[in-house]
Amino acid sequence: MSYETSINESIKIWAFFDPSTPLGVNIFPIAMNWRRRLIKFHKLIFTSSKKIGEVKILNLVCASETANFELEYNTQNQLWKLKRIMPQN
Amino acid sequence: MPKRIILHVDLNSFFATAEQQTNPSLRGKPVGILKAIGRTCVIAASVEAKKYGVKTGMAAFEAKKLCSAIILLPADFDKYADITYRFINICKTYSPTCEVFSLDECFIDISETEKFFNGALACAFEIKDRLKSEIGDFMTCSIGISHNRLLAKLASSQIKPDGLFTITEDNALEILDQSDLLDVCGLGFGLYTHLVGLGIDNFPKLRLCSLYFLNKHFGSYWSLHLYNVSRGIDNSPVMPLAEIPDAKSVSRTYTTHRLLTKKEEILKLMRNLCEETANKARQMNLCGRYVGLALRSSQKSYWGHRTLKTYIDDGKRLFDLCCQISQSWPIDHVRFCGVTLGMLTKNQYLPIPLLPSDKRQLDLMSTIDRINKRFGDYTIFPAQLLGMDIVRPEVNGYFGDRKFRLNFLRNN
Ligand SMILES: [Mg+2]
Repeated sequence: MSYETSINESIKIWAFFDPSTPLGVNIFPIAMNWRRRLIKFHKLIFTSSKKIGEVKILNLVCASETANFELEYNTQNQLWKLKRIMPQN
Repeated sequence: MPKRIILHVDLNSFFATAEQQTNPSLRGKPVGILKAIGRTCVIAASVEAKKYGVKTGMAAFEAKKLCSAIILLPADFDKYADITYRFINICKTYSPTCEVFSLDECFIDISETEKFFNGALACAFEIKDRLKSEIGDFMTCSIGISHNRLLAKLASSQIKPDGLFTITEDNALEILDQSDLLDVCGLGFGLYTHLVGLGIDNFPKLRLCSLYFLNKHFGSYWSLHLYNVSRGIDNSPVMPLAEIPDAKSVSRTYTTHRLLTKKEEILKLMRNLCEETANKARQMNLCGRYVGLALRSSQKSYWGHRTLKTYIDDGKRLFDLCCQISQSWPIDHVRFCGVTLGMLTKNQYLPIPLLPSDKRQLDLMSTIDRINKRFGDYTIFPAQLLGMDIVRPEVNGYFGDRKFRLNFLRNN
């Protein structure tokens, strides 16, 4: 089985903005609507941030029941992208 | 000197673990990190890959030969830098005397502060816990505790991954004697071969050498160093973030993954590295008046330098000088290029330009810098670099310019 599938699509995400979230970011994605399917997240596995010029981009890896999803959040225009899907280990 | 307590914290297989943290399906599997897509050099390997003998610096095909199941991934330096930044933030809460030794290693002198944290062991366990809760549950580190830097680093290398080891005055010599000379001293291969040539291939033998004997073979600096190292003595202080000395030079090097044969391509790479070097110097508020250039093909290597009367910090002038330096070199195929800007000084000491043309050039450069700072590097770049993949030798960037790397950590 492949260890990742690149997606790179814009998507809609439901997220909490909560300053007490662990792992250093104050966003916690709850669910997403992708290809007319609702996928719920139950855990934030990893976050990192980078800057492209002055724009801060967050990378979040979220776990659902069946797979892990890497999301990208642009803090300037507040848009989300689904970067890749990774199988559970 | 009162007895010190120093921790050496070392993230285990840093780049590979970072990828395994991000993608849980890679956990427990042999993973190798390549410098970039299409690059052939393994710059890091996971614990699992190391078991097959895969090592840093190995070519991708060699790694494949040793371990056919290895998963090779391109490096993501933004991610690693972000983790490093958070790692340092954890470490520096235990003492202001916290030295960032590399992207994944840090010395903390907790002599004065350990009492606030219930002792060194409690500090170490807390760091391990916080790594998992604040960075990710797969992150592990090995921590060494001792009374000096040399032994703290040796201690952290004893158990990998996720180790914790203390070296005291009682077990120091015993541990040293079990260790490899090359693992401990940080002496470099040259000195090591010299030692082996003299029949000295372990610590007990090194300890038997008199200072006089060592001095005769290695000079005054290294003889004392060797003498002390073999006895587990190291009085060097842990250098806190705020007191890192200024950089002496900035350089960028790049090894191409295919032979460059067209003159135009070679010049493009050269310009690219000049821009990177000058950029980095400007970000550090430095300018220099020594220019060095190295080019290598598979058979020959060329090296030249110029020392100028005035300081420079722009890529175009750096490039023009490199062209002058390499004018007489019969460059037809190139594998490696390196550009250095040295004899650095703070650019605030520079005189204000008098000529209108110089003033215009300066304005142009600072405008470009501001645009690139706002919209991302290389939003505006020299037309000469059109039509090529711009090279960003970041590994060098982080590991090479300590001062820059640390500034980056301080400012972020
Ligand atoms: Mg390490």
